[in-house]
Amino acid sequence: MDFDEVLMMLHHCKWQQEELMDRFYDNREKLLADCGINKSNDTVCGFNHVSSFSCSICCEDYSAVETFSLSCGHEFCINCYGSYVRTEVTLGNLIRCMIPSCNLSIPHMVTHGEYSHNVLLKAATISHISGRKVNYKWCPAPDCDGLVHLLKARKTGQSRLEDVNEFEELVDSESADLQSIPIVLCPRDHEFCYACQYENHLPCTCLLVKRWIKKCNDDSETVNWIDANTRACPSCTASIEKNGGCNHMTCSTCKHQFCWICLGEWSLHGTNYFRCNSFSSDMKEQIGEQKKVKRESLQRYLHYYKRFALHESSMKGDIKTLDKVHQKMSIFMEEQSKTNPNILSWIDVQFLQDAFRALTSGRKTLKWAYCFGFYLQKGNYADVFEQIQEYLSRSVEDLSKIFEQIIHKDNRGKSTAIIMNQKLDIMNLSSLITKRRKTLMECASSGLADGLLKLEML
Amino acid sequence: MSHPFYKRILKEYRSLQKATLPGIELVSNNEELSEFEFEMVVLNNHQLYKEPVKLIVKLTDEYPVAPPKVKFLQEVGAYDIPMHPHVYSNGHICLNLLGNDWTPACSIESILLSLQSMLESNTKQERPPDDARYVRYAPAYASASGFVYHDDSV
Repeated sequence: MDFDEVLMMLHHCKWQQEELMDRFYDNREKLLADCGINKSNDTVCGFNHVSSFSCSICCEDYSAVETFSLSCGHEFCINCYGSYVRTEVTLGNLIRCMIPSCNLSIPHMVTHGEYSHNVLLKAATISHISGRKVNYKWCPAPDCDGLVHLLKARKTGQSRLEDVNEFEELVDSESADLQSIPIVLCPRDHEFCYACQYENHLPCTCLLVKRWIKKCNDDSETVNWIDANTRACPSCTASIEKNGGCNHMTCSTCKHQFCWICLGEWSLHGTNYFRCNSFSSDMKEQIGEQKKVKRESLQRYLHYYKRFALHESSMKGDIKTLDKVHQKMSIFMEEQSKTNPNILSWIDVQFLQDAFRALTSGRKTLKWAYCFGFYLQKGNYADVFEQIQEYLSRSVEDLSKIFEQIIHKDNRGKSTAIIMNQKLDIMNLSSLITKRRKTLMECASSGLADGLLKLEML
Repeated sequence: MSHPFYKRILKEYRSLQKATLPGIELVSNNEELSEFEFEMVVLNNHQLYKEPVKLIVKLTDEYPVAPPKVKFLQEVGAYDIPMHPHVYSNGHICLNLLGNDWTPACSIESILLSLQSMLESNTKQERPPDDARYVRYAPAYASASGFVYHDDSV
């Protein structure tokens, strides 16, 4: 058996190793025939340069032409074979000889000299993956072509997810079991949630993420603000914010004059608007109360959203900084290896990579912890959660600051020295971040499981 | 502009003109050799198919890499769409050879022969199970409508 034949057999068995083994030992001859592998014929499969050839597909008579044939000897000109293969390859199956009664398959090697750029293999892979969408997910990170293959899905404890489709349900489930959220790592180190294909959003559940994003995208918060802080002009309904002054309002749009308190026409009030005050005090209190509630809930949302957005933008800043640090380090290391190769090796600066990762994942956790905090019911345990979050936030900021110093323009030329001097601090901070992240997750997860933390679905 | 496979089509055309296939006759074709009409007699199934049927074969620019578009034609008082579990009442045909099983080594002739034998071996005087629904939404020619092959045994 050569490599090409094994490939063809695997391809025929839809890349199922066990099935191939079964069929191979069950009836080897039949499997080979089904795959279109010819072991007996002497004709060599391959490209030929022939003179005076008549192709039965295009019916052209060539004086000299390149042809291709499988070991069956069915020979056609390279143009006809080429356009046939190009059409067939999109189906992702093995490509057979053009003669319908001939079952031989084209070996993968023929479609390209190298396996890494093999069009047939590529098409086969794509069709294989698209047929098994539940088992494969593309990494959602921009510019990343990483693919994650789900081998075995587990729920917490013993029960196994028999059907991976359950992940789809997980996205909409109200369950607050953080342990069951399938966070996976793509080959390029991007963490994401296998269920909702969003970035690692712990400690939030998929449902919270969905609602939060909807809330942030919706204009509903703008509407809430307008509702809480403005009144509509009784004549033209333009929204008016009263930013001071007396209650005699003149609409800037339609010049209508009215009383801010009762929204009645100003001319009816005359000189004495206190009458208006006594007239509708009940109503006013009621409206005022409503507005107060709305304003408070808006304030609360904005509190969490600001911090959420802040960490999101900080993360982008961090990534830029880290890139620069990485560049500086690479240049430094190259010079080092030229002058005195024994002093520093890449292993010595491995801690930097760990620190980069700790910083970005710490930011991500912080970001989602604010989303979590927004939906969290107030309580003692919630305060504990926020305290832990505060600690995490502090160490993330500290580490971020060190990196910022490294690339600060005042420290030009000294950056590698700073890195080596601060090595201990950087290492300590990154392990602290990792530890505090873990604590935060555990707090959220156990708090929800024991009912100490409660989520409010607003 | 002539067809990239003009020579091949010309060769097929000449052979079709000679009418070497029993029961199959080329009735007409256009000047560009992209549309052919055939009259077909089903030789060995007189209980079901007493009258001859009419077929239109349309070659696309991709022929012979892509299969031609083939359907039965109805002409009031002359030709009817034959009854067959793979033939829709608008003349569309559900046949592997016109889809996935097509290779450039097949020809108009091989399609005609396989259609003839499809009718000859038929015993059921019925339409496909989804005929009414299919015919309502079907495109002009069948290949774009993505057939599900109902039953390969017929």
